[in-house]
Order: sequence, then C-alpha cells, then structure tokens
Amino acid sequence: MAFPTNPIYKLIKNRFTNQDDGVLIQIDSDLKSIPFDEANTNYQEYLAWVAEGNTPEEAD
Amino acid sequence: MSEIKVNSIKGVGATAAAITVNNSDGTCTANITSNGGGPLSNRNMVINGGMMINQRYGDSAHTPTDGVYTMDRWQAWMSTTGKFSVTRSDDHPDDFAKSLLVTSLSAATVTANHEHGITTKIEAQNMSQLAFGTSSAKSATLSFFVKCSLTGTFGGLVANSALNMSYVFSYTVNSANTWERKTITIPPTTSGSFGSGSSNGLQVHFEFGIGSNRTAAVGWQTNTAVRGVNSQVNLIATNAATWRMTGLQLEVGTTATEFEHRSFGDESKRCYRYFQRLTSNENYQWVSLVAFYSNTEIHGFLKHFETMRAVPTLSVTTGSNTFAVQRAGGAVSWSTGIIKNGGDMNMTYFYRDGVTLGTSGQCGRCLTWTAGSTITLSAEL
Repeated sequence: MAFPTNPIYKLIKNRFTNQDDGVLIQIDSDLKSIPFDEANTNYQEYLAWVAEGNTPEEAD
Repeated sequence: MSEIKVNSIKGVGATAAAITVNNSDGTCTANITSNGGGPLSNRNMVINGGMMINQRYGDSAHTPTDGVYTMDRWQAWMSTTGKFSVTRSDDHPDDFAKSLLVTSLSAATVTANHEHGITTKIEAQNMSQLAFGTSSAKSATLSFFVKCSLTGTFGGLVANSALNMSYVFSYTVNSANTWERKTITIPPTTSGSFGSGSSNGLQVHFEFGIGSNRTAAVGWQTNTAVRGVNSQVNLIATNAATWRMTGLQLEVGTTATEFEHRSFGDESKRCYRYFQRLTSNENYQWVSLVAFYSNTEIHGFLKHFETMRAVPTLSVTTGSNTFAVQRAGGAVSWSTGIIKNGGDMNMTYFYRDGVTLGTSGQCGRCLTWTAGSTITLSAEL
C-alpha cells in the first residue's frame, strides 16, 4: 500500500477480511496505522476530522 | 514529655482490641481498615509518579509539540511550540531514583490565551474510589516533591476530561533549587462528569506559561479554558529556568501519606497498558517471524508486552532501508514501513506489500535494518 498523501488519512483494507478496519497517517517519518476502535484516541481524532467534512483516501 | 503505657486500645463498645501492644519489644498488632480514608495499598492513582519510566526518550531531552507524550504517562499541552523541553533527570530527593525536568528554552513572552504545561491522565475506572461527581464524593490529596530555579506561586489543575469541572491548585516554591514537598487537599465535588470504564477520568496538569485570561482562583470551577492559578509564575518567561518534580501521588482522603514506591518492573507494566516501545534504537532488532503471502507481500505479528487499554495505534519509522526481511537467499530491505492488519488489545498483526521481497510460501524474519528504526504501540488516553 502506498503512503497516504492527500487527504491526510488513507483507509486500510484488512488483507484477510477485505474490509476497511483502520486508517493510515504519515507524520514526518512516522507511519501510523490507526484501528477502528472508539476507545483509541487517534481514532477519535480521525472521527473529529471526518466530522469536519473531510473524507479519507480509499484503500488501494 | 509524657508517655502512655498500655497493652491494648479498645473501642468503647468493642469486644476486641483495635491495637494490641507487645509489652516487651515495642511492636503492636493493629486492626487498620483504612489509611486516612483511603485504601491500605495501591493508594497512588498516578502511574509513573516516581518518574522512572521513559520508553520514548530515555535520559535524552525532548522538546515536545502540543499533545505529544514525553516521559511515560506525561503529555505536553501548549499553544506555542519550542518553549520548553522535558528530560528524565538524575537530580532527585535521596529516597527517589529519578525526576521529571522541565527546562525553559527561552525568555518567552506569555500573552493572552497562552498555555504551556504537562499533564498526566488517569483512567476513569482507576479513580472511581473518589466518587467525584456523585453525592458520595470524597476528598483527595495531591502530593509531590518539587525543585525549581525560580521561587513564588505556581499552579495547575485536577480536572475531568472535558475540563468543565476542574480544581485549580497552587503551591509555593520557597527556596530556589531546593527539593520541597508540597501537599494539596482537594475537596470533594458532587458535580461534573468523570467518565467510566477505560476512558479518561481525571487529569493532573502543571502549568508553566499561561495567559492571564486563562487563570482562576484556587478551587473548583467550570471554565474549560482555565489551566492555572491567578498571578502564577510563568517558568517559560525565564530563559534556562528549570523545574523538577517527582513523587507525585494522588490518593483518597485528606492525608498525604508517604509516596507509594513501586518497583521499576511494576511501574513499567502499568505504563505498558498505554504505550509500548517494541524495539530500541539499535539496528537488526528482530521484529517478527513472517510468512510470504506472495512474492511481494509478507505477514507477521507483534505480541504485546501487556494487554493494552484499547486496540493500539501501530507507529513505525519510514525511510531508506528502515526494515528488512531475511530469508533463504539473503536479505531485502525497504523504506515504507509495515502496516497494521487487524488485531486486538493483546496482539497486532501486520503486513508489507508492494516490494519484491522473496518467494510466495517462504518464511523469514522481519527486523529493523537501520539504527533509529522503531516500532511502538499506543493506547494513550
């Protein structure tokens, strides 16, 4: 999977289930894989970003 | 001086003695049920209050940005960056091993709306004994050792996650560059929402550079913008000013008991619930056995040190030759990191695709290939 560029977030498609189950974000040299877990604060930040009207890039 | 000599102490209506005194060796047996209103063990709700654990930076200074974690369990909050660094310090009271050092990096001008500080967050289910926000709310006591190059009144907060119910506290540094113990009693609050389960229940914040419109008097208040106390000293306004703190304890009741020292191992395990650094800065760190799903795709897994608070975020270093796989025929390195492929609070699965790595059906080992390549898991509050 290529790096997300624009928009900031890019969906991750699980290789076994073929379902989206997380998002990628690249900050400097740090690549973060964020799971769809409502208790995860990085996912909460992503949901807030979506709530502002943004849309993530589709998974490859 | 007076002295009382007895062999037991018994309640007026009790049938058994509360304290039985040994008449010859100076010891006693006591039926203690509470320590100042709090539990007898696990009194301290703060994790890493002894400032021993710093998985991210060790003993190196780090200049954080807003929202970034520094030492374990300590997050930086700031409106402008580059004003202070955080370091795990070897300067500490005699009965401690480490302290948290904040160093001012300039003589910053602090204006309206500014905030600069550090915060530790406590899981709601780990502070439920305070019963904050209910009719059964109890008092709490915050205690810590502080050593600062400046004297005067400093401040901070004990607040719920929404910051709409916070107790503004103050403490006075009397002598510069001298370890002093401070004790703050927090009265109970029957108002406010303090979360539940594994969510953020309570946060303790120390403030170092705040606009005057974001301060308040000591006491419970509901303004979400407030971070410190009226007329407090702004550490970051003095270049090279230093502030050290250790032995932070938050406990039930109005008595500050001795700091509850826990072993390095115990404290590490508590920190692993929120953050785990799986590799050091060295190269050739074994990450995982991997299977070749195809010539260009490998799959592996990361077993967590401890069950984490939530399904964690996987963070990896990218850049030239940061990771590699070794298998029959040699090693192949790549620059694009690894990607999470499901998992739970105990295990993270990962994959890497899009790189010619080997032959479908092979197995091998994935490892960091360049010094500085790291893998971390985060389930911070």
